[in-house]
Amino acid sequence: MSRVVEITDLKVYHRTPHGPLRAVDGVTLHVDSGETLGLVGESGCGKSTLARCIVGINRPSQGTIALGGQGLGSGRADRLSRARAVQMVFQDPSGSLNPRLRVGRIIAEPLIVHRLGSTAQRQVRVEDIAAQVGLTSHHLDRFPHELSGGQRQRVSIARALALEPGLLVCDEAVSALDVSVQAQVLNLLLDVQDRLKVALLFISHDLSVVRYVAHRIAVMYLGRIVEVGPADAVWKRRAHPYTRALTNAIPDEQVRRDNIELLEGDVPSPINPPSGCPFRTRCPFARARCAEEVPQLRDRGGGLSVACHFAEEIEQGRTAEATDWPAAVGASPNASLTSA
Amino acid sequence: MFGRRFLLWRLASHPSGLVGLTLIVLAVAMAVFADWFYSSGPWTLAGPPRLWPGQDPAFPLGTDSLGRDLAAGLFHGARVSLAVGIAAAAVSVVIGTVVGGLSGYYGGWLDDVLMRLTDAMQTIPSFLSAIAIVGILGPSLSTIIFAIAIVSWPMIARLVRAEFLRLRTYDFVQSCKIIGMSDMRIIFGQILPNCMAPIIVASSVLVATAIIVEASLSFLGLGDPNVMSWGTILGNGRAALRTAWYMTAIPAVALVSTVLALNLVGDALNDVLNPRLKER
Amino acid sequence: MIGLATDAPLLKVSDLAIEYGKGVSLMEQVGFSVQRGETVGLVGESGCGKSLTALAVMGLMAQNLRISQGEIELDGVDLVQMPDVDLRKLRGERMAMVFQEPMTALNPVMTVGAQVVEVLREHRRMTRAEAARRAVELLELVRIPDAAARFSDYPHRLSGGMRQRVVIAIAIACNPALLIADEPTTALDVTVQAQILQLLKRLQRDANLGLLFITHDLGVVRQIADRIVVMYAGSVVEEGPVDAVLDNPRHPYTTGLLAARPHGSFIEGGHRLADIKGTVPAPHARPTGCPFEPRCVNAQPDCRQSPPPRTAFSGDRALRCYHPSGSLN
Repeated sequence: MSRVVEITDLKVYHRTPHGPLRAVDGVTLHVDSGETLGLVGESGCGKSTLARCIVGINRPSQGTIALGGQGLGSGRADRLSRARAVQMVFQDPSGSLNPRLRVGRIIAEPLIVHRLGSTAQRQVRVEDIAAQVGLTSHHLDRFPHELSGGQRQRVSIARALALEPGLLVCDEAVSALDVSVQAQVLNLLLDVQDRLKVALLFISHDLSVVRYVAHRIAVMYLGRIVEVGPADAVWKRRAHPYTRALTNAIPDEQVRRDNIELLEGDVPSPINPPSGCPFRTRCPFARARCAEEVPQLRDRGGGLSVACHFAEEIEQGRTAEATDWPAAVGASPNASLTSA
Repeated sequence: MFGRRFLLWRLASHPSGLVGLTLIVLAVAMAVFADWFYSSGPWTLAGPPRLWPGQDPAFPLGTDSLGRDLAAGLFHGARVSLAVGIAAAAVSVVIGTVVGGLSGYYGGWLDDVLMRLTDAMQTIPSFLSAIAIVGILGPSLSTIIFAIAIVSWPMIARLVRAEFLRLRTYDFVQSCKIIGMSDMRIIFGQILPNCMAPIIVASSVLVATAIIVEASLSFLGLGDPNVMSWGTILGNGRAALRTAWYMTAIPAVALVSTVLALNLVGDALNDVLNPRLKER
Repeated sequence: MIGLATDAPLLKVSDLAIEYGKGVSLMEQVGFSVQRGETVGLVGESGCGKSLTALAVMGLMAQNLRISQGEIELDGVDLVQMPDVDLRKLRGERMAMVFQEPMTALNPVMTVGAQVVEVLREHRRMTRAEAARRAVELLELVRIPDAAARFSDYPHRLSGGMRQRVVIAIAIACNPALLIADEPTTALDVTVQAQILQLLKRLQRDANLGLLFITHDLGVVRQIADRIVVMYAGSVVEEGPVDAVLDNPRHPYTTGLLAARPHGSFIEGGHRLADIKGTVPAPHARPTGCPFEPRCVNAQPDCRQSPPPRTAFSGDRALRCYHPSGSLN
């Protein structure tokens, strides 16, 4: 299977008065054509910076990003060929559309920039794409502010699809939407993927949404990938303590769960990250080794890679419990727990 | 563009907009019909000197010390004053928008360089530098326009830069980059239309300022000697201020009401173009 | 906790209607109650009127809105007719509110300690030193680590979760009887959200607070609330004990919301999410009949005639629907 994007040892450091901010700190990742890679993590973990590097808005400090097999610079020609390889859908459906342009023009914009077709041909193409995302021709004459949030997000998706990219980066694309509308947009994305065989990099803070759409899931924490593998394995095996914490913290609408394991504290500052494992300051399983040595992603079988020194122990001690999730709740021997 | 067709209508239904608009229409009408009413121009020695307004029905506003019709001067002067005001404002809006737009969009060293340049321009007292420029290049209409534009673009540049700094973080700008649009198209085709409202408001004030600067230059005798502006009439009347004050009062009223009208329209535009401010 | 039904409720909203401008109705016939020691989850999507309800209770509605009908009673006293001066005294003292955005709820140029002290001294006769002591206690109560040191920090030095704890400390400073939390965890990360939910639960239990918890997230409601009130387009469509309603939803809107939440995996199971077609109508474009009728899977011709009346049924539940899903049991 060919790869639509291949990221190798990507680092993005921002200069700040207090030292470099390590937004992305050595990420190696790929997306296969036609698949959905879910990228999950909390705010400040670097997932958006990573996305912006892939689409070329942010410049990496180090490392490479190959799109469809070629590395691209920032020149005019590279910008155009990058645009045909990857497009993006943003979180805020009102900020991502130019308020002064009509919807039809917004969707046509990529075609105009790339000089594709005559005006009449573009018109046909725009109506075709609009129909694919569930917009009718009367929407095309509207301004963005005349549409609902869900419709605006459809416009964003239509614009992103106009150039038929191999990869669509969805950065929190459904997070700002109401649940009922979120479902519409998720269904649309899945339809579009099925029809156009476009690969999705689906970025979200919400693990249950990511699990729903993704073939594979990568979990990010403080600029690093801490776990990556098939969606099912990441969700069920919960081999990394951070993934466990994320799944635990999801408010489940089916069962009320008291006394759940909670993480202590907040994400540390990416300006002054902890030594060794970035998660050790909040990890219930942390030991001396975690402060000394940065855990690398290691193959745990079944396609799952985990960056934790004690992944084996954690997974083995927990597999029985993991099967009957989410009812499973228990205190671990060396965990520091907060309970109500 | 939103409601551009209805902009005049909305302005007219705003109280200060209506007053301002009426006065401006009056001034523009004077300029347009100057030749029709006073075909012999403002310089003709038409009658006896120092006629007070109302003394002779042929000269409703009287004549100056040389016997030139003040009404003719006022009509023809409107042409010059308005033309200089609008041209100077237009030039400074163009310079200011380009500088502010590039500065705000690219940031980094370009922003540093352009903004230091803007700062430097702003530290020079604008009227003095206008005098200096006219003094060096000699008084002609185009130098006066150039001099006024050179001292007033920094205000627009700062305004446009601030708007660009705000708008460039919007995702619609990022998505333009992602579809491969060139920077110039993003700056002028995508971002600029979104900051037209404050630019329009600022330029109405700019026109007013330019008219005043031109009048002041002419008053000091630094105006273009070949054209009659309101400032020229003011300057001519200065010598007879004590005996025939109407010679300065009449052009002064024209100046004040035009400037006031432009400011009123500016305020009204501000309300009309930013309806959100009004609701709060 | 629901057993205290013999007492008069702490908060009782009945038949509340709010209008905007010249008679655009934003909500109609909204009614629910909150008992002491009870958590009521007010749920709905954006534009359903849940935040407006909270603001109406607090007397903080925007000036161009007005209550055209109904009562809001706190301890049996009607707040709608109450003069502003008295209402101001009640705010902070008897009822308090926690907002969604912890950054804008705090004053950026005051230390967090000073902000807690300010509230205390506003409502209580306290010396500065007493108030400061109490403020540190409050910061400890909301589990801010090293509270004495955080006292003199400015809000921007704290993380989102810590800021929300400070906002909660300010809200409970004067021991209010009613706490309204308007999407208090929506801006927070999921692991921090879990912490804040647990904190609110504990505070509520310890102080026997009546908690009106407003959220769009049914999962959060399940975790924290005793009763649930589901709102749609300005009216209450379903209410009842949270477990009963979420296990056996009757209103097609509640059913739809539950089905629209992603669960499981599309890749594994291949099931599409059951979305609710269309969008929430704008207040001036609401249908004359049942507000949910244009989007409803159960819609029948009679739904278009008139809005369905509130019908109570067994298990302390009520519903506004002519053609509910599921069965009565």
